[in-house]
Amino acid sequence: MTSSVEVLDRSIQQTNLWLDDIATHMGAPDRQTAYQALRAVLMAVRDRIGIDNAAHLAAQLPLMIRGIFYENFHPHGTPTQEETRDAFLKKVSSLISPTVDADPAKATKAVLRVLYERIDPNEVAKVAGLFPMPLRSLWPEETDVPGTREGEA
Amino acid sequence: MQINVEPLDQSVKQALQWINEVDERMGTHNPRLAMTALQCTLQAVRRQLEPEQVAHLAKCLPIPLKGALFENWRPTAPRPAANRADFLSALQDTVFRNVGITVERAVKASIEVMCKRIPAETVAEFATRLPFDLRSLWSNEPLPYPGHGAV
Repeated sequence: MTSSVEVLDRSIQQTNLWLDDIATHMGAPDRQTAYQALRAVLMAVRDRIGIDNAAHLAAQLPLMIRGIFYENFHPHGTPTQEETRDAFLKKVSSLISPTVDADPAKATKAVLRVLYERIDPNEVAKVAGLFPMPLRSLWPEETDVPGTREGEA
Repeated sequence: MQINVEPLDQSVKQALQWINEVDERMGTHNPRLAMTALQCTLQAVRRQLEPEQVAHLAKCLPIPLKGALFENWRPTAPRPAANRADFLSALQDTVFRNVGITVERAVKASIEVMCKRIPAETVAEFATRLPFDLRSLWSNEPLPYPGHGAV
């Protein structure tokens, strides 16, 4: 099925790929879980980096993914202040539907890896660098951002 | 298309309803062009708004149109248009001229659909930020400008 609106069809195809990649990295059984992970992690990252940095990141995302990124957007009160890995993962966990069984650490790492693989790696490195040291090990090591190696922070 | 995630599938359906309504009102039988009209109009309206207002508008849009609203958004560098000519010049005039419709018709169709599908209080919020002299575009379904009908 296609919609005869190219920009929408292209974005749907890209979203399929993102969801499949996330499901693979998470070892998730279905796309619903992958979607919940994608939505929760994008929203948590968006709020942590502040409105202007978030807009720069959003510019790199496909149409549908950008729409998911801005779900329930409240610019007031951002950037949020999670300073520890636990606090950030708690935020991610709070954004995942309770009907879905997803480990927040696994979900976060899977989504950030797919982000790294699917958009400009320099933009991803820039965003990773905005995170406090204790949170950076959630980002892929390949970003080469100090603190992204496990145990380094 | 095969997403199979309820909220996403629903949002695609809703976005297509918006697009088809814009298409009907433009009378062009060209959904691709209707999507362009809607994208351009959403972004032109966005340029008039503060970030909190953009967020309120976004809440009322299906996910793909939310993605369109935020395309190339620069929240700290707003450039609101002061008048109708400014507002319309920010749209991709040539896209519409090439298929024989005016940019006014594309904007009118898009804003009429926005007004129909978005709760009145949110419409009122963005409508008051649009250039005053744009309102002649809505002779049949006027936007709720303050003092509308008094002039």
